[in-house]
Amino acid sequence: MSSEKLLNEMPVVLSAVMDPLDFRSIMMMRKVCHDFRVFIDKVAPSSSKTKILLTVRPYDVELILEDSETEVRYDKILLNHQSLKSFTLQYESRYESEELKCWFEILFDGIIRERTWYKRIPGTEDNFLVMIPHYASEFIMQSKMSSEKSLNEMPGVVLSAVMDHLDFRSILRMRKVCHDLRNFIDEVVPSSYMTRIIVTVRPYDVELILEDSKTGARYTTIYAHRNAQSGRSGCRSIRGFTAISLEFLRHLIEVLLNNQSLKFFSLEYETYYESEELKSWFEILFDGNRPHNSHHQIWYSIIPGSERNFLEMEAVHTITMVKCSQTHFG
Amino acid sequence: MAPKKNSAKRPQPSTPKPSAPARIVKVQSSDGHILQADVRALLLSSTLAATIKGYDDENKPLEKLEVNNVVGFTLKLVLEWCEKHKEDDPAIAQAEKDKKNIFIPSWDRHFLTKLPMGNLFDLITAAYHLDITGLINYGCKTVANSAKGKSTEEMRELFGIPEPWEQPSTSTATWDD
Repeated sequence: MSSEKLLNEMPVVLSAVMDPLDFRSIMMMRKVCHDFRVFIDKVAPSSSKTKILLTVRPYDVELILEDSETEVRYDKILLNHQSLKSFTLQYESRYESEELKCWFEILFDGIIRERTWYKRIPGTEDNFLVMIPHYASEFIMQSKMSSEKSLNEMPGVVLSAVMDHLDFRSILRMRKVCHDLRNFIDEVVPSSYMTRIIVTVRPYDVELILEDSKTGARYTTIYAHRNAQSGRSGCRSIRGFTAISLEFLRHLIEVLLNNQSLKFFSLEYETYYESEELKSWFEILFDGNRPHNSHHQIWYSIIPGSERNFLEMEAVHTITMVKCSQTHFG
Repeated sequence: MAPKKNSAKRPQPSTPKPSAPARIVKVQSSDGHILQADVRALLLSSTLAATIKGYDDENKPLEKLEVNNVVGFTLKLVLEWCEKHKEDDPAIAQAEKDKKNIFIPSWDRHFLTKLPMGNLFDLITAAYHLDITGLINYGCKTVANSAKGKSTEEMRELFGIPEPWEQPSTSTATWDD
C-alpha cells in the first residue's frame, strides 16, 4: 500500500463506497469500527432501508426491513437511522389492552387527540414521532406530526358534502359549534335545509315544527315556559322566547330571510295576542300594509337585495309569512 | 342508465387478474416520502390520472409522481384506499356523489372510523385535492355519521374546535341566535 490512510479518514470516499452497498453490508460495516458507526448513523446512505414491519404473534415475532430502493428484505433490526420514516407493528388483538396503553403513556410524551400518541424527536423543533393505532392490529409511526386540522378548516365543497349527509337538527347543532360553521351554514344553505317552520305560541308552551320537504322529515320541539311545570316528554326549558314579543318576531323574520330554501313561515298564537300591541310591532317590522278583506290586512316588506321579492304576512289567528315575487304581490 | 349494482351493496373489489401485470409507479409526498402504487389505483384520482395520461401521450417514462399538497402519512392512507378500490367502476362513485344515503362497505367503514378525526380530515382534504370522488363520498359520510345525534359540545370535542369563549370572534351575537 502506498499510503497508510484508512477508509474511515476519507468521508467522501466512504460515502461513495456506501452508496452501492446493500443494507446488510452497511449493517456489517457499521460494526467494523466506531468511526464507521458514527458516519453511518449520521450520514444515512441512500440504500438504507425505509420501512420496518414487525408482526408480534403469540408464538413468534417477525421482523421485515424494507429497502425501498432495492426492495430487498432482511430479517434484522435497525435503530437510530435517519432514512427510516415509518414503522408498522402488527400485533394480535389481545395486545390491545390497558397494559399496552400504560406502556404508551410511559414511552410517549402525550396524546394529541383520541388514539394518537406523539414524542418530540430529540434535536428537532417541529419533528415528531407519531404513533396511531390504525387498525385493530396495526401501528404506524412516522417522523412528521400529523396536522390537527378541524372541520371548519376543510374546503367548502367538502364541508358542503358533509352537511348534505346531515339531518336538519344536526345542522342546527353544528351551526352553534363555531363562528365559521355558523357563517358557512347561513351562507351556503345545505340541500337538506328546512322549507317550512310552524311555531305555535300557547300560554303554557311554544311548539316548534320544522319541516324538510325534500326528505319529508318533520321535527317537533316543545319549549315549555320557564315557570311551567313540565310533565310532558320532550319538553325542554325554553331559551330565547317565552311568548310573542317584538324581538321574537324580528328573530323569526330574520330566520326566514336568511334561509334561502325556507319559503313559508306560520306562527299560530292564542287569540288574546290579537291586540293593538301586536299591530304596533307589525308597523315597526314591516314596510307597509294593504287591505286583504274587510277583516284584516296583509303586511309586506321588500326582501333586502331583491327589489322584486317581498315578504308578506297575513295575521288572523295565525301569523303566516311567505316569500313572494312582485307578480304575486300584485 | 346507471348500473343496477349501485342500488344496494357495493360489490367488493375482486383480486387483480394475474394476466394483467401491475404497473408500479413511485409517488412522492410533500414531505419527501416515496411510496409505490399501482397505476390502476392512481387512476381513481382524476388529478393523477390526467398527469399519467399526459406522460403516456408524450411517451415519456413515468418514474415518479409528485403530490405536493399531501404529506406522507396521509398519502399512504390515500394509496391504501385506492389500492383496495382499484378494481371499482368509477361510474359508481360518480353516481353516489349526489346521493344522500350512501352505503359504506365494511372495509371502508373500518378503515375510516378507526382514524382519528384530524387524520380523517387530512384524508378527505387530500382526496379533494386529488379529486378521488369515492373517498370524498365515504369520508364525508363518515364525518356526518359521527356528528349525527351529538350535542353542540360533543361536536366541538369531536372536531377539535375550542369552546366559544376561547374562539376569536368579531361578532357580539350569542351562540343561541
